Amino acid sequence: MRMYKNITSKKMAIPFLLLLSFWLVLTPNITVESIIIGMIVSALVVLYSQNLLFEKQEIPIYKMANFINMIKFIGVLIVEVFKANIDVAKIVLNPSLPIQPHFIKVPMMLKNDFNKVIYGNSVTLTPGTLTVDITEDAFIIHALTNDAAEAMENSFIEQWIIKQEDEQ
Amino acid sequence: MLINGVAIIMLIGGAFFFLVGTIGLIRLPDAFTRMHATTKCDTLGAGMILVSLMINQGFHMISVKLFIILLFILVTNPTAAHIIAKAAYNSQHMPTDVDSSIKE
Repeated sequence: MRMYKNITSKKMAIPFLLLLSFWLVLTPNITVESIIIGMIVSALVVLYSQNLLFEKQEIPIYKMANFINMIKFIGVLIVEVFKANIDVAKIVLNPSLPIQPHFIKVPMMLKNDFNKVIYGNSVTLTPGTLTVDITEDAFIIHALTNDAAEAMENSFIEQWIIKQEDEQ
Repeated sequence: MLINGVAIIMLIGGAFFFLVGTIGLIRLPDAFTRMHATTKCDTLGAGMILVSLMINQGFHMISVKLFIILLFILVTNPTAAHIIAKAAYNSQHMPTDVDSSIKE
């Protein structure tokens, strides 16, 4: 009975639905048998690994409003990725190779591990910056040009992440 | 006809960004700057090629599978770059011919 109560909680239901939909995408033809087998296997995997799963408060996007925000953020990020590539293409194809590589330190402003991961990966994908290390009190970021280093201050990623962190 | 044109343009764009990434890998001086060229260009290059294949397939189960590959590339590529850069940083691999001091 305790197990039944557990599987209806968000902590277990969302990984179950993710695993089930992944199974359904990979099955060659969707029949009743394949759906039933998928449900059994996903439920067993989720039950077996329940102490590895994230708690609800560790993952902000388990809330619907945060999830919609996340989708919007990814939309803006894709535009930034295009800009990043055009910038890098210009630098690489320029015969004089105009780079001023150096490290910068951004003070740590996030508490949630999930937000740290999102921030680090977004910084890597945006123009001219690369996350090198995440320590207790700072992000160490490698910038390809001076312009890229200046653009790091108060960037849209930082604003979005801080807003997300405050809302929790 | 139009759909095929869009798919071809995306495919050529993806191939172009892969080319730029590879040229960057050869031309740039040290590990960190090389990671800049390869991560950004590989993410977008692979992304554009996958989107062009999705457009070519139309609305089909294969497109969904390609979309899942795209999502995994978007998550794993920056993470792998971060780990390589961190390994270079921790093993005292010094950037070439620049002032390597950390600016606040």
